[in-house]
Amino acid sequence: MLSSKISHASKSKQRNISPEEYAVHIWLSFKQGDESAFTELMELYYSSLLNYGNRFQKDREFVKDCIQDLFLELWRTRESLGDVITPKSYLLISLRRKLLREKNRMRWFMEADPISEDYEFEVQFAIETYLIKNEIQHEDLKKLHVSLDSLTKRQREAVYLRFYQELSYDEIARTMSINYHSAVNLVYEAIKFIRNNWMYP
Amino acid sequence: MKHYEDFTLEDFVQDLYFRKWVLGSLNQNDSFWENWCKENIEKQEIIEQARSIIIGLQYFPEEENQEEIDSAIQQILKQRDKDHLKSIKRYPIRNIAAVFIAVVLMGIGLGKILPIATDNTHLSEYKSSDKIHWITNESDSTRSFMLPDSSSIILNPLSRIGIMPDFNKNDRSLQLIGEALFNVQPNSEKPFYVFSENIVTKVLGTSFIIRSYEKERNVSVSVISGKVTVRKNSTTVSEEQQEIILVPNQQAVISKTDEKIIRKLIPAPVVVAEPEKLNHLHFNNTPITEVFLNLETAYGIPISYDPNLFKNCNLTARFSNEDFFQKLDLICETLQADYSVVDGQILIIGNGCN
Repeated sequence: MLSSKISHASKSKQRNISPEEYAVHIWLSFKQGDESAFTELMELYYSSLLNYGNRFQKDREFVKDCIQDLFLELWRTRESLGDVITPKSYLLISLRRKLLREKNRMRWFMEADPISEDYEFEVQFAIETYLIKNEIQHEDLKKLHVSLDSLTKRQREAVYLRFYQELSYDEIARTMSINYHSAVNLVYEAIKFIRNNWMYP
Repeated sequence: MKHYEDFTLEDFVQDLYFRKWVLGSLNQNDSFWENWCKENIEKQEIIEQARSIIIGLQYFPEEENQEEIDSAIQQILKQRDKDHLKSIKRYPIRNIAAVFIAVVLMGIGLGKILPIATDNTHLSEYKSSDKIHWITNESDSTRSFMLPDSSSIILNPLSRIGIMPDFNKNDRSLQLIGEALFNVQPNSEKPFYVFSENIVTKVLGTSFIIRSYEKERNVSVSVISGKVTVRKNSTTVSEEQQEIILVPNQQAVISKTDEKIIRKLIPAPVVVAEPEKLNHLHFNNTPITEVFLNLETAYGIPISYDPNLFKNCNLTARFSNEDFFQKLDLICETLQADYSVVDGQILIIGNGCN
């Protein structure tokens, strides 16, 4: 496994391809049944998936189980998967669906819409930790803290995907099952909301 | 060049270049923003606000625990391998939980390749007809359907089946391109033929897989239950014909180039015995001949050895989940013998026991 990893890595160096191209290259190799590419796919994205999953569901082990199921399903069905352009957002979308579905199932809402709006999205913004750590009494920062808390969960998620996972609006839209403009609006509204509540209380 | 002087606060918060500067990840020599701020002093307030928001909107990534991630990935790989084994075992029709063992020897089997006598007319006849009914699977997943005689077929992706006119009249003939699993309704009066590329498979029993993709070098036929015969499809009468009979756990591989038919075992033989005929595979000082017999019965794979040499050998072992070849390995290790797979059978070679 180690040696194959090195070979992938050196391939990417030789050709001097971008991380995006490299991700697609790994995805295609994985689809053809390349086991080392499968491992690498997990190494590239596991921590992003775990982090994202934890926004919905605090139970870390539960999220890890879902990620495991997700990768096992991918391996089983690899031959019939599409040639996705951005493996990362594809994985995030798949995990999101799975988590919401599993969560609903656990609540006995067997028939519920799998993409139920009934979900949590929790984010620990840096500002909170920053405030606690430094015992800062600065009024402005405190207000920012309050206004971040008042973001809707959709705004939080969009902001998180944009600034933490660094997805494009297109990818955010697909991940959240909304259209492009809604994705843009969510992020802009979140920023506007913060500004209005913070700068001009 | 972007028109930063027209930027709103929202635009700044989202601008990648600006964000990098705020978060300190720009190249140290890059003083664009310092200069820009000096030149656009009236934007100072908006810049400060944007900075605060960017910093405030950072997430603290949780402590990343590389060990946790590595072990989670290992766990997934392990589970995948386990699933893989399970799916192979589940595939066949009879799934008996735990069974087996054993081993060995003898050889041969070449006698089963019989010259074939007659009819190679089927395919050519049918080819001349334009009324073949084709069923094509262009989807990403398998497709199953039932034939008029109640036999069923699971057709793999990118494969197609041609149902010959007069199917089920005097016989049951199909053409296959690609791969399919056949579960054939027994009917000795109407033989079941599958024509694929260069071979004809005649079904005497029930369940088997044919793999015949145009792009691949070989065609293979794997038998899950029942019996089938395989021969080359040739219209040249003079050509020497070869027909082999396949039993469960055997596979015929036919090279498209040299047209040789080779009999092998499928990669993961499964237990084929009826549960009531199946002896458990726990041995306590059991004569090796009995061990081999149990194993033969369980897997339907002939095991050949020299009974005289091995008559004094005994085995004590409890087999459970080992696969067929693992069991063979264990037995041979005990006997200090070797085995080889010859023509779909197991041949045990060793010096026996004193």
